[in-house]
Amino acid sequence: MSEIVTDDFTRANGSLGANWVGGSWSIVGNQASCSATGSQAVLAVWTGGDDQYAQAQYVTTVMASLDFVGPLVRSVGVPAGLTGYAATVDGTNFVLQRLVGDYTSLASVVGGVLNDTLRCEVQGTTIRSVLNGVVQSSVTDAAIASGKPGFTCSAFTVTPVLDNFAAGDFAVPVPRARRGGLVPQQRML
Amino acid sequence: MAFRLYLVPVIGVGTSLDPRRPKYVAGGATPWAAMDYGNEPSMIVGADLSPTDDAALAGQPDVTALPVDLSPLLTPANVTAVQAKLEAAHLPAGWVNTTRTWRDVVRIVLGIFSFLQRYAVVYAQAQGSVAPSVFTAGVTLDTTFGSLPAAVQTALTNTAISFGIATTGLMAGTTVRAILKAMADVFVDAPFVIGGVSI
Repeated sequence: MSEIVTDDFTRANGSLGANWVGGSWSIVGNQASCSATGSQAVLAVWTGGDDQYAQAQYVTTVMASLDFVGPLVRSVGVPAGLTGYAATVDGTNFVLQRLVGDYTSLASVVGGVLNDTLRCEVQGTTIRSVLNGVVQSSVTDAAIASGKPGFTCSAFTVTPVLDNFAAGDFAVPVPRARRGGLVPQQRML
Repeated sequence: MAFRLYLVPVIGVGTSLDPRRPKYVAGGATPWAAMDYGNEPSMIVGADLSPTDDAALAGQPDVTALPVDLSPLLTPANVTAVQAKLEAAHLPAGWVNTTRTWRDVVRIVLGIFSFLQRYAVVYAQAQGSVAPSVFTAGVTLDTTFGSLPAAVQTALTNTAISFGIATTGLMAGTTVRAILKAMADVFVDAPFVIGGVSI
């Protein structure tokens, strides 16, 4: 497993930049902030494989039951809408979701608080939600075979905010363990 | 109690505000995980519920609680009951017999689920809209491939291709029942995990 991209969003307020593609997210106060209502997602410019993970730190200070936010894997924008698997928090639950133009909840546990690291993993047909390095749910789903990592939200009553994004590829052997924060190989400025 | 599987209806219209999710189970404090039958209104959900919650869920008329131990063979009475439940959920069930264990049955059903999960994506990407239920406009398990809407035929074929499955069996006279069972057989050795538990 290797880290392919990271972004700590530490830069001037404004666009996420050229290494991000998709919905209405922007830099606000050195964090990624959803900047429109409804469902919004952005995908990383990606050179890794389809067995991948995405993770981000949950820094939304207020969350309401109608809203959620979290990392996204195997996503592509298609005419039918967003696709991918997401591990999201809504202020109460940490939910594994499948997005194929519509939303399907695949698993749920109670959890996800401020500053937690949310992670979504997909390997073959196994989808996992991981909270602070601990697997919370795993389930088989064969729906989506390929796509890119990123993050998503449903924003109707609050402004979801994330920080410290990282995405990696399970296809590449791990060169060494990484601890203590994000060390970019390709920083997404 | 113990981790147990339940065949439950799907609720929710599929929006971010009202996602598709397992009836009765979603929203509770107990962790759960589920596999769905593509965009059909059924899910198999796994959870380790309290005895009270387990009894309440298993007692719902639209829920089928599976045995905690999936290793026994089905009895003749089990076969009759399971076939009825599966057919009611548009799942072919002629293959269910007393030589099958409960685990065999669940794994074949999850194989069928897997095929229609991918079908929903293939359809959506080709048509630019969320895949409707296969079983609309009078389509049943006994409808033939050639009688299905062209978009459905194409999506079924492309779904098979996406899994590397030969499509020679997708002939005009082949029933949906036969197609789904044949596709499920491809997943005979596939790993199925629900809530971290290998099925």
